[in-house]
Amino acid sequence: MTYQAALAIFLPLALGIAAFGSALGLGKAVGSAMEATARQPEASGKILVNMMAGCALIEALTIYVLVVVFVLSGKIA
Amino acid sequence: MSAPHAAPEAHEGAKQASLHILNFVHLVGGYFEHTPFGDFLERFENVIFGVIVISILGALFFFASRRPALRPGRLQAACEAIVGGLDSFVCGILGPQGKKYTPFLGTLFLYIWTMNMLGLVPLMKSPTTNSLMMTLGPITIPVPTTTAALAILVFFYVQFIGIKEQGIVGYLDHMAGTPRDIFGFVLMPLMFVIHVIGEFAKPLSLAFRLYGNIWGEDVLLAVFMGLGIGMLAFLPVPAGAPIHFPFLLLAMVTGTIQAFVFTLLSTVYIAMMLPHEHKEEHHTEVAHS
Repeated sequence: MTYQAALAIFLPLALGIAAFGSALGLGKAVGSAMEATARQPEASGKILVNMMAGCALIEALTIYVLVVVFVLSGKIA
Repeated sequence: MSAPHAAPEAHEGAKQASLHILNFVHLVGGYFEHTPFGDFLERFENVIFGVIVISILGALFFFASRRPALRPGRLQAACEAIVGGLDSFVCGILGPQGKKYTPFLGTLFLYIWTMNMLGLVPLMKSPTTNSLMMTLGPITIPVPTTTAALAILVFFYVQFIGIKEQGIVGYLDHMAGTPRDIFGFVLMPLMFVIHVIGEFAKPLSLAFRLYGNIWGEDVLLAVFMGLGIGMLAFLPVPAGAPIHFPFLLLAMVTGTIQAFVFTLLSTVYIAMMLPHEHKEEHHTEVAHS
């Protein structure tokens, strides 16, 4: 297997794995936020903002992988 | 991903690696191809759309605030509601002293949001979807120039605030993880490296998050526009089935959320750089009231 083939297979796979982890994290974050909102509807604005900040930080991990994929995908062609 | 100008329009189908929705600068630029004017349009496409966004926002707020009345008209009331909402959002995170950061952060939000929404107008493009293939040493990477510019702006502004509010010593102390005991001093080199890397990761993730989301949504729209045109290809009319319509609504949601997230994260980064005493004060105030 040439390294181009290896990259072509594993770059999307790496992004998928990173997205999988992020999805688990996001699910937990959003689920907890929903629970908190149901328990205390008057604090929904604050919870939403905090949830979004957390979600953005979780997403950032997938974005780092996306950057790596972008960097390495130039080597496939 | 091929070079951005390799695919002049989306309607070619899914063959192209880089799909674009047709915009009017491209149309005019194709007409004047290989002339200085055409080259100018091709090179400054995103800047032109950025200037359009700035003109829209500038004109809107200029006319809204030209004759401020005590009993505001519709336009003035709407703009005051926007500014008031942004102000209360920023002050909700930074506390009462956050008022002086509202102009920068509010402008960020309005600019990014308008750019994102501009991509949904026919013959327009969001400059946030723009990227340029740049070769940095051994690697070639698409650099999202518009969002990177905004993120770099935030980066330098946050560092400036950190130095201004904490002093140069306080800033270095913050970067070293505020060592107060022996463990802190032992871990200081490690904390310093971690903080510096973290500071540089912030603009990276800001730029790529905004670019990735808006660009991905644009490609989605382009693919479905191509499919819709393919569906009606047997008719002798230049029309397509509007199967991309649900994704327009999705794009509106994504664009708003991403503009909000960019602003929120910038605000949080500023909050991290501010001295912590104010925050405690604010909390006790809330507790007493």
